[in-house]
Amino acid sequence: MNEDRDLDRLLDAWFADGPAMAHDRVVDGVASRISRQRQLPAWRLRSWRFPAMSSPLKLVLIGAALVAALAAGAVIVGGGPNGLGVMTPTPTPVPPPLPNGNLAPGAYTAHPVTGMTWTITVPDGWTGSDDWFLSYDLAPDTHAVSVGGPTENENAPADSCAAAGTAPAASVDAFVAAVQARDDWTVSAPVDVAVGGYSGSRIDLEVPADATCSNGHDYMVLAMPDGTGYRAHGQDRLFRLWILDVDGRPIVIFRSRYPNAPADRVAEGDAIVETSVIRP
Amino acid sequence: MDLELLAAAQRGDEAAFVDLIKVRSNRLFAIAQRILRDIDRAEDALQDALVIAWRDLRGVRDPDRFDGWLTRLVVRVCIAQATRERRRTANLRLLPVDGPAAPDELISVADRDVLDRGFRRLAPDQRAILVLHHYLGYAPSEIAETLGIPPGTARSRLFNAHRAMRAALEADARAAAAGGRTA
Repeated sequence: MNEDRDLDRLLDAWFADGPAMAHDRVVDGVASRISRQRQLPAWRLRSWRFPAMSSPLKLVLIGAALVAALAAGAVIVGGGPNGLGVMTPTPTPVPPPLPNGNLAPGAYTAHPVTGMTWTITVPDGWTGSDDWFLSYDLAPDTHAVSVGGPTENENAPADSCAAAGTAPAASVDAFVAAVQARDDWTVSAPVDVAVGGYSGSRIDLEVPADATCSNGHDYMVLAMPDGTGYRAHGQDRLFRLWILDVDGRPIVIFRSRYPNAPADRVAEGDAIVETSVIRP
Repeated sequence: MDLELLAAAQRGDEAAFVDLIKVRSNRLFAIAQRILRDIDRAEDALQDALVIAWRDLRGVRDPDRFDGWLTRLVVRVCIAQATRERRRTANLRLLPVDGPAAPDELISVADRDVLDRGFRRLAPDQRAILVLHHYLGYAPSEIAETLGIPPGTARSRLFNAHRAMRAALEADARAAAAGGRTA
């Protein structure tokens, strides 16, 4: 109990200590960005308060809403009281959020980049995690095939072991050029593709089998300016990148695999990417 | 709560929105910095959250809940950002500790470093819960409302976050005793 109180006291003091003033650039940046951001109409926004409701009650309410919607739909499609019928747009159901853990086959929605929605359709046998990542695992945490959702502000680093300072690619072509500039990687010729309604390039690359860093850093394949990104590790060193032009921004989706990954699962990984629907 | 400013901002008045967030930015930044433990990332997350707030502002129907709604947006964006970072760079690396370096009366530099390393080992939602509880002084019911989870879940997550923090500190102490790499 004393240990609990000690930890409470330490945490209280530690959190109380620290920066508490936002730099003016934060509000200035927001002011600049909202001038380019339209507000959504209220009818498109659900009320944010739905938290304390118990799951059974939630199910009852959802069920009641479905019954009401079906009943209303039957009246409208069936012609209504005057028998004329009304053409109404079919509502597009929103796939459920990508959960952590084993996935049932079907469509899921993830949010790999703030403000961006990524919808994919997944076959049986795949695992989801962290709202952006899917894998086919030969054993727990052994991602024989991986698919990573769209990311931005990235590039292929000039030096995978010193990736901090990597400037984000300004365009799809610039990204491809940065990958091709890596003469220590085996890189394919880029192929023109269209994924999720956006055009871009697809390129395959293989990092050396002994890709490790003697300076203790991770061996980065994709990097952001702060040096974080996606790393090659172990057998996970064969990459396919889809670099898409999304409203002028180069956005990257990747599929990586072990050399011994089952070919049908690799094909499934590519197929998952091809089902992408991206809403910036 | 300035009802007129909120109403104007909901009608699309950008200046009114900026006035609304100016007086709240310090508090929201402090929350983001404590979850992310990095000033630059906290500023990025806060900006992203405030742009989302502008976009979705017309969904706020109860002005009394505006501050809670904003806090929730910031916490969610921070959790998402921390989750991506954690997943994308699996091996945690020590980053510079932001904030004053001078010791104070309540907590030593050594304690601060140990806490920082332990905190970085936690899952992002556990970090957020500890910040809500220990920095904002939220009770489990308020944590529940902020995170959109049932109160019982908030209680158990708070318990687990404390347990994880304690385990992280113990692991750090063991690593230090063994002379090994601690993060």
